[in-house]
Amino acid sequence: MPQSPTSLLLGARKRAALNRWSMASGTTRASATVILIAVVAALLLAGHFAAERLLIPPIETMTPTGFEARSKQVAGQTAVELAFWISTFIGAVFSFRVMEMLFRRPDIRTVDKLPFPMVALFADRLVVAFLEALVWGLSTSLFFVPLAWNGSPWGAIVCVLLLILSPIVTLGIGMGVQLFAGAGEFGGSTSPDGQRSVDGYGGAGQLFLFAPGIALAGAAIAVMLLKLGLQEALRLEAFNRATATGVLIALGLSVVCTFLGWRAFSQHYFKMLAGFREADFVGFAATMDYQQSAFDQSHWLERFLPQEARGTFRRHLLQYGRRFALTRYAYPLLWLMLGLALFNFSSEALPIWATSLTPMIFLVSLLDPWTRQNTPGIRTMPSQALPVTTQHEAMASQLFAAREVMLFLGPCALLISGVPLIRSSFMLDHLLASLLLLGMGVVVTLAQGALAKTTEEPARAMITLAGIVPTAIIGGASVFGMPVGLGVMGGALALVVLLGFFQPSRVAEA
Amino acid sequence: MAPLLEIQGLTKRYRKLTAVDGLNLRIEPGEFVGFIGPNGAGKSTTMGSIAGVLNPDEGNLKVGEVDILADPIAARRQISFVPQHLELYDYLTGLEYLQFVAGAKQMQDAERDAQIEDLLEMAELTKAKHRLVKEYSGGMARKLAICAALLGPPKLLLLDESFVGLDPESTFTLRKRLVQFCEGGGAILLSSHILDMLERICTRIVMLVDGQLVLDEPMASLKSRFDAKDGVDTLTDLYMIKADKLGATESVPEDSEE
Repeated sequence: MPQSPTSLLLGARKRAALNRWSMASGTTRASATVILIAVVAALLLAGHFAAERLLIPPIETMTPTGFEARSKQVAGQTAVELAFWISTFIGAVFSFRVMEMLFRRPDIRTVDKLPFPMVALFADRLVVAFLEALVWGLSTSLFFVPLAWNGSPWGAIVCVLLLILSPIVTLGIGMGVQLFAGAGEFGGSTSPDGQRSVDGYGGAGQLFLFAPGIALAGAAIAVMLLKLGLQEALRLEAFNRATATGVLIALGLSVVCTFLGWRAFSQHYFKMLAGFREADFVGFAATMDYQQSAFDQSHWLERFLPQEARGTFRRHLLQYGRRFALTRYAYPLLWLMLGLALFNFSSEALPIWATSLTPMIFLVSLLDPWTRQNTPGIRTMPSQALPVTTQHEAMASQLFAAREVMLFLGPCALLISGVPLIRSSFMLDHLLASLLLLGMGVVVTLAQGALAKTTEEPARAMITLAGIVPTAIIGGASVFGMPVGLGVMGGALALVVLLGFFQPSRVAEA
Repeated sequence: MAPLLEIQGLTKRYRKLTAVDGLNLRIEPGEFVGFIGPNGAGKSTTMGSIAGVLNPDEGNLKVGEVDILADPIAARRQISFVPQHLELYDYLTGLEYLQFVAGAKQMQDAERDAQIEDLLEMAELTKAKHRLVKEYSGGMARKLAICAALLGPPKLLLLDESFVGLDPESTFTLRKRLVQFCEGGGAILLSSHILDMLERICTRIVMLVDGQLVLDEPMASLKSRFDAKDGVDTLTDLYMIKADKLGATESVPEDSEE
């Protein structure tokens, strides 16, 4: 008897994961296991050391009944606030991840030409997204588990629940909003003039392509309700009506959105998928005008390279500098924002605002030409036909990466270090913050570049973010805690092992 | 009898570029249609629209009695598409991938196993059937994709540049199998730039230039008109004229005009 279509799809996914594991070498499997255990241990350990600080009651907190003064606050409220912001942060990434899972991942493009019933395709997408939501929730909640043995078991329960439920809520809302937007965009069979044209390159078509942003707004509201409900359990140290109401509203919203999403999916999914395929296929070209060859102009950094690697370095500068010219314009904007912020922040809050720069570093590392240089489909192939060794290729790439990091973060570090010269604050703190910033920039950028070769963009985002979270938290504890956070971050690369197994295919490079 | 594929007024635009412009095409059961044209002529866009992976802007597409846009699942039961850039499950073995596709086509186990064995043998992939698709060479992956497309079998097979990277032996075997498929009542739309091969195996040639149909004629009729005296005695000669690659002064045989 043939398998049911749903079990066939899920079975292939499971089979691919098992194949990937069983056909990996013993060393790879052992390393993956060790790294995974190390990451779990690092998150638990980081949580244990941060617990004391996380259990200090905040000065005032927003509750369902308004602002409450410190005297009414319970231990663990700070942890819940932190868990909430992490949830929202995850929600931002996960909204885009849902979009990728619905429309852009290679595995959907493998099966979209086969006669699978819509219900099977939807179930497959739902299960994949749910598993990923669970990985998000479980991995980030590990950090809050140590609250349980540090005096606040309810703090641990509430934070873990918030972090596990939030991605699930985001998933339902994300699917619903994006599919609903897609149905609105592609659902009409014909326009009054008899044409089916959908402008996916601009105008209304962009609404669909940017629906993850709308989904995020909805998800953030639902997660806020979830948090308000759950923190009542922390205050009363028992599940109560407020908790049940918050959880039910958030989950209910997610279920309703999923159902609405299913209706849109069943009727118009292939049209939406085709829209995305086309948008990806055509692409935009935001490049500078370069009609004259600039290859003869040497760059001063080339002197640090052997002669054989200089051509490759110059090729990178021209190819990726031109292709991602917009990134260059983004850098000064971020410097300006940082400069304005530096003169408004209190010096006492230095560790917090220094580490709060991490999302910005991450964003830049996603965009910067070094990462793009390693992205399949974008990267140029090594010059195998030229007398350039892979070692020279690597040297040129590494220098190019270093240049990208310094190009953005160098001025940032100078700005931070320069503040004490104008304001009477402690120079050492600022220097440490600058060093941390540069260190994190190097780690994030190099990690992005290295992972780009084997990992999809959203997975890279998850891995990097998972690394940034403990860094920011530990770094936020004190100026001297920042280097410790940097160390924890390195281990987070291991999440690639978990995530990689959910991906049974890749698209052959053109 | 209803045609196997009927396209009426297919138009596809990529913003200002009209990739396919009002294409009309009918393919009958048993036809082996060679789909030719310069790069960017609109061949892949046409095939993508038939396969349901691109949204046409205008036009109607039917496979048998099924409207491809209105009932995409029913259409997919009758059409198999091998795109130019393969999209396979890399971490399944070759055998597992074929079993997966057969399952999607709801084939019974016994029939499935027999067909898979036969196709693997034809494609000389039997020895590699337990290797991950990821480890296949480009040519092997392409042969696997064609095997998967032949499972069922479908009524209409869309092959977009599917002979690229295949060794001569595989090309020969595959050609024979595809001809058999058409003799069995199936139809093939094969886009390729290997004109000599198309001349040997196709029963009809369709050519697009700038999204417009410039040639649609049975192969037998074309061959009967090939004449060395006119300098047009192969499909390649005709192609060069139709694609306007020989300059405006070249004459086009009167009876080959659309």
